[in-house]
Amino acid sequence: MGKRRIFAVIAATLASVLILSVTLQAALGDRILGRSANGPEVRELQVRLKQLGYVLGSADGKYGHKTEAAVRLFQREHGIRVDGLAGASTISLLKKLTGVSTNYGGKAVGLNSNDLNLLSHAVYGEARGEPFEGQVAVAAVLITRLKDPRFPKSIAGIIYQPGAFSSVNDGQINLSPSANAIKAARMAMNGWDPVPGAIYFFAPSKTKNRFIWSRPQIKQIGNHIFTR
Amino acid sequence: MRRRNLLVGGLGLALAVSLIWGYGQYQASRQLGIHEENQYQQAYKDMLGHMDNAENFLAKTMGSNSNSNNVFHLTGAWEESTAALNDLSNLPVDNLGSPNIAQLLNRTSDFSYTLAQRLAGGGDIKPEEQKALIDIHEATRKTSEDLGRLRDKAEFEDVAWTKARPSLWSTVTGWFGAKAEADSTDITQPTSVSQGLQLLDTQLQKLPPFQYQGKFNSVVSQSPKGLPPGDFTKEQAQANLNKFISQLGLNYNVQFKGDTKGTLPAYSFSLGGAQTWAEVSKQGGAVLAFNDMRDIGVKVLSTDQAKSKAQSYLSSLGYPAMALTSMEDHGSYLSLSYVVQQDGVRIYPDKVILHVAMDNGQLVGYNARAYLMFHTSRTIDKTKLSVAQARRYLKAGFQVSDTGLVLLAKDNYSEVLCYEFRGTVDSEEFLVYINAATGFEEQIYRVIKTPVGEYQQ
Repeated sequence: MGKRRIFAVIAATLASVLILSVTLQAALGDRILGRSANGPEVRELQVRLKQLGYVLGSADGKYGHKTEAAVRLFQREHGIRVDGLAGASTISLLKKLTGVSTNYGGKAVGLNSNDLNLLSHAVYGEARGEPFEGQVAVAAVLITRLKDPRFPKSIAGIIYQPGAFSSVNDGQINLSPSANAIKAARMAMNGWDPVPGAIYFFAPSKTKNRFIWSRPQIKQIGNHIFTR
Repeated sequence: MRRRNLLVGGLGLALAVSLIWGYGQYQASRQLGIHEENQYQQAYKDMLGHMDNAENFLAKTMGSNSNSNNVFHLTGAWEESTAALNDLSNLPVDNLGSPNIAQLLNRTSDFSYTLAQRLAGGGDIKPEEQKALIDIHEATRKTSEDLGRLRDKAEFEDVAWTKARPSLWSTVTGWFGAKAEADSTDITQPTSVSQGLQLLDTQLQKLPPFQYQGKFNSVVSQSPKGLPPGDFTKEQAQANLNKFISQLGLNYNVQFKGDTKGTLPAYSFSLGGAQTWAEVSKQGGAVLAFNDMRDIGVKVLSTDQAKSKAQSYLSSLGYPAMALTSMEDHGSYLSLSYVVQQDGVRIYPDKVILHVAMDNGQLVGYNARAYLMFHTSRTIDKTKLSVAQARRYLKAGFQVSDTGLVLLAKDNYSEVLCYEFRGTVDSEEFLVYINAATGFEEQIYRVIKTPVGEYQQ
């Protein structure tokens, strides 16, 4: 009686260890993930989606309705058939877009993703309700400032200069940027500039500052006026 | 009776709790204030220290007769002024911050760097540059003197470092419309160091500009070479935009939105929908850029199909022969960069970027600003060196994988004919540009593989 019991316990333990090790080592891409899936692969999926700006709450490893909505949105915005299931094509594109940059030899290189991260935060903090053109314009202003001798020499220096941007002052800069903000930042880094020469922007309804109003204006996009 | 005691007791407890909480908040606020002032002091004093060092290095260049020593002095001036600039960006900005001090530091850094490079390459400092060095040195010395005096005011004359937070009284009276006390405009009696810094900055505006050739001095607003002369009205511009749209096989409801002023005056249009925009230049009425962030459906095109679509768009828009130089794959659309190809030479400044949607091959993005700025009819010199001769200028061990001829734009907008060698050394891939006449290594870019495509820096 006792022996059988011990044997059953050992068998059950071995079986559960085996199952557990399989799920613990399961890598993203091994299987199609859908509603009610959970585990570290789901967590990796969620983290990668968040890196691209898709909102799904916290990366808790549970494929709930928020995760599914994010997957659907990702699929829609990237030309993949929208079915809410993270299958091979969805996962491979997701991995590709959130991969690290490498040199020829395959070693990770951080260049250029740091600026993208900073610019995305700035765009989201300053211009998140604005038309896409306005978001690209905000990022372009920051890049134009980089080339201007009156401003700090790094993107971080420009953004975090105390008092320069309201979203830094009130902490909104720390919100996670949306996918659109990231796209806008990337386009500005690729040379798109709807407001060439602009180094300032302001919301006309929110400021009476005489100096900024005296600057030569270039264009108004949405709620922002861009000036030299 | 008991109820009243309970009430009094409860209120008394609430009062005690509020007082304790209030005191805790006050302590926390004081801590933050101390922390903020510490940061400010560190940035200010660090900046001043670096500026003093830069000033010293600049002074030495005026006395030294050795080019090799001056390389060291100028490199020092460059490094210290860059560090001072970094610290300046950590000081709070009121209005615009300190653009004139920033400009002085930037110019010092830029000029020192340019001269150091030249001396290191065997060149000399020209007489007008000697004069500029003297001017820059004096400006740096004077600014550092004034900043030092401001620091002393804080220490010995009770000027606060940062503007004090408004007291509770002034906050409350502010709610009822009372104006805050105005800042002093007297540089000898600033309200605070941060305000004194601002006053100092405006004084700097009165200094004459320096004459020199450096990175920042390059003309930023060039007249666009690729735009035909003559100004267009907004109706004519809209007509051109409509023609452009139909040439691409697209269909939009074009609406004029406003003027874009600035270095390149243009007319701004929407194509129907808040997520579209288009710009047409006033001079020449050329479409500068357009973008449509429409929802893109499931990808059906292959990369090759997208590329051939892009080429067909370039032809229908009347572009000369173009070569593809880079590509970014964003899943739902492809971003393709093309440059003019003339006599087998790729003209890098004349660049057009196209975004091709991968659901139906339509153009959803177009950026021709660079092309319209720089494209002109050029006669390209014959190369003086052959490919084999140019290759000898490459580093030993450089494994060449591809070769081409390009017209490269340098920092000051001059263009130089180069052999482009793509190759690897150990685990890094590079693009090396060898001057096709002199063999001089004009430029080198490192190739990085990013998730969306190749990136050259």
